[in-house]
Amino acid sequence: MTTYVTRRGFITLVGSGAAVAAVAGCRPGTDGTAGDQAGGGAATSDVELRLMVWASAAEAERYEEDLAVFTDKTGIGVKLEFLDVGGYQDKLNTLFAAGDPPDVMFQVGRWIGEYATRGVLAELDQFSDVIDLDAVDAGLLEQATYQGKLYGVPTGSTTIAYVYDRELVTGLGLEMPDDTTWTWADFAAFNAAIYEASDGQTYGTGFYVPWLPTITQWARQHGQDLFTSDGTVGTDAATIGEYFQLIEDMRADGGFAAQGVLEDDSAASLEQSLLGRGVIASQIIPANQFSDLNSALDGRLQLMRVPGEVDGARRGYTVTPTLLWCQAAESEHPQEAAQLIDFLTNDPESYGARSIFLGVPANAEVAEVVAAEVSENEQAFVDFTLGVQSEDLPAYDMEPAGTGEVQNILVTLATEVEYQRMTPQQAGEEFMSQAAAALEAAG
Amino acid sequence: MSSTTAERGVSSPRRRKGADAGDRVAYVLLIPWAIGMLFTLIPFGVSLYLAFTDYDLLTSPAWVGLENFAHFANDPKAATAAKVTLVYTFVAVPISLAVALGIALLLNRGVRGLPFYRSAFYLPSLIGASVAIVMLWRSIFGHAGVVNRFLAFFGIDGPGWTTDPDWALMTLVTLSVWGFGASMVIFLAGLRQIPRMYYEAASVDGATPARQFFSITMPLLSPVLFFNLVLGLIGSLQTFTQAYVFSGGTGGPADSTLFFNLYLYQQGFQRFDMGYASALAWIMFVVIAIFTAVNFLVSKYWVFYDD
Repeated sequence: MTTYVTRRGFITLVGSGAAVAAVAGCRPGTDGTAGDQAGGGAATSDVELRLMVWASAAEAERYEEDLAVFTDKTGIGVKLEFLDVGGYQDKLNTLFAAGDPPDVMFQVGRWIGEYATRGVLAELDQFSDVIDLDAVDAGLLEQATYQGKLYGVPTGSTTIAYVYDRELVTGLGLEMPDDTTWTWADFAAFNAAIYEASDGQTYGTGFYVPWLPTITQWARQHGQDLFTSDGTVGTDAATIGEYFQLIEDMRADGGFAAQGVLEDDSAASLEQSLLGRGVIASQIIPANQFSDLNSALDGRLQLMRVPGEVDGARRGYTVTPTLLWCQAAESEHPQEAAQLIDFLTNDPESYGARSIFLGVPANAEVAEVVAAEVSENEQAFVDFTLGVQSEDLPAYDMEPAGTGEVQNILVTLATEVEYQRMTPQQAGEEFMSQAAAALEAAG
Repeated sequence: MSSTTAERGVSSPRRRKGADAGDRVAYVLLIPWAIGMLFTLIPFGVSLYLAFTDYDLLTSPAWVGLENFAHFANDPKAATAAKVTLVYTFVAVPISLAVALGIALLLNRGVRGLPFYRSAFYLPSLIGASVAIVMLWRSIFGHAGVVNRFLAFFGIDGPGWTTDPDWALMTLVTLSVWGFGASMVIFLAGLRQIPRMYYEAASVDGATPARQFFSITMPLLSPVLFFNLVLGLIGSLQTFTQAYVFSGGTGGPADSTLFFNLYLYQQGFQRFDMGYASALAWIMFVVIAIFTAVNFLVSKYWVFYDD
């Protein structure tokens, strides 16, 4: 099955249920008056939309709270269907096949190509009178656009970041490096130093090696794109090989978690995760998860930029949609579904319970309103993301159809390298041929 | 005499009528089966049709003739999946049968508390393929799991049972062998059917226990062994749940647990290629049918029916 970007991340999310509930509890939420004032007189509609997301029970509760506001305002009911991310795409595909898709659903950017080419997602430009697209960040919308048509509205924006256990690192007598200037060499040396200073108790880092966003950034720093704008492989064997080589070199000196260690990181709670137990001092996360992670670990963490941004061929960072709200082409209530997407995007009240959990709102005005009420941890994420976004970054194209398969190929190759069944260079070459074949088959 | 004839004249149609009623009851009782069969036959037929189409789940199927089967011939991943499945089957089935037979023989020696042991050994086979057990198995064999901790106690640095592509499949074989109980119960029943007098006669003639095993037990147990072998082969070739849960649906690490059934599921539900998935399903069906047919043909030479 597809190992999603966020497979690991979402395990983390699911694990954070308790923390999420705690944070939700102390956040100034939307109270009933908001709905009353706007929709007290709204006629009850017979329409009930179906919204499908992946979520833990605690997350779903937050979404439902926000959806209740929508129902109050418009009289349109929304039935939330949620399940674990692992089975999400299988279920969604089955519903599409049965002609019974949800009206509105979560999608990931790199899946869009496959659905759009089959015509099952509504083109959202045609609802521009319902969804206020002008208010949404144009750069983010560009990343939900496939072959000139808009298929999704970003749930918010996020980027990737390292989280370091600052307490642990400083406790070892080490100083936190300057993440705005550090190179991959600095990064490797720092992680090795953590391993050494901890007498081999803590690996400097340990992250999901085949994660597409990380490799995308790596390729961009090397002056390439993982995918070209016409949907072919835009990197080369050497660049991918060097990435795997870096990991193996770091593994050799304890900078990166030893063979097999990361596979045990499916603990039930964040406290029991490898990071929580200090087995690793850092990992890569989608930055929007920082708040939940840091609350669970008592504020020990620090958000750090990915290295190699200053000495590379060019900047590698991207700020991308966290997820997309998409609408089924077959929806029986297209107007109402579009109304729901507009609400979830452009109405500050829709963020009452979920806040910035799905990224910094894509509507800048809304983001300002929402960000004014967030916790310190959430603020750290918002500042980090907006900071990166405000910088001069090379353009980033939407991933082509077949990207999901490319992700699977990377997962397999990473394992082959980890268990020395392939050299990093061989993996680089394999990547080029396999990824090209996957993109061609999908295109 | 005439009265007898008259009686016959009356009773004969009555008897037939009784038989008709019996037939009707049988047919009524068969209705649920017939309905169930419909739900099997319809998908069966549809999947056969889809095997000759390009069907992406989301748009209508388009006839492509034998293209899917041609694709199969040139699909290295399908070859990997077939290899994984065959290796697993040829390792797991013999070991499972040997273990099941061995334990059945032990229990058949008249162990005190037999019902308890029988149930205790049988239990894993009921739950062995369940999601919870596979998850449990994964954590027992995890990098820092119970098994490796136990090995570390003796100074052995255990491998990544679930993460190392060279070990993962063998870990699944272990899980399968652990579920030996179902075959064991059948073996045990078979052993109980063998008349004691054969053994008594053999003892009188001075046959050793080994000789008794090969000359009495094995021949008389061969129909049961054959039954277990057929079921074991079919079951192993169709393995899905264990591999799906074990690898999170990926068939990983590095395709080492990419069972054929899992691969066809991936094609159908994740890669939007239900046409190809249907073709794969039919290929699997035919292969299993051939295996089973060969099994039956060969059985003439080694299975002994005592009647």
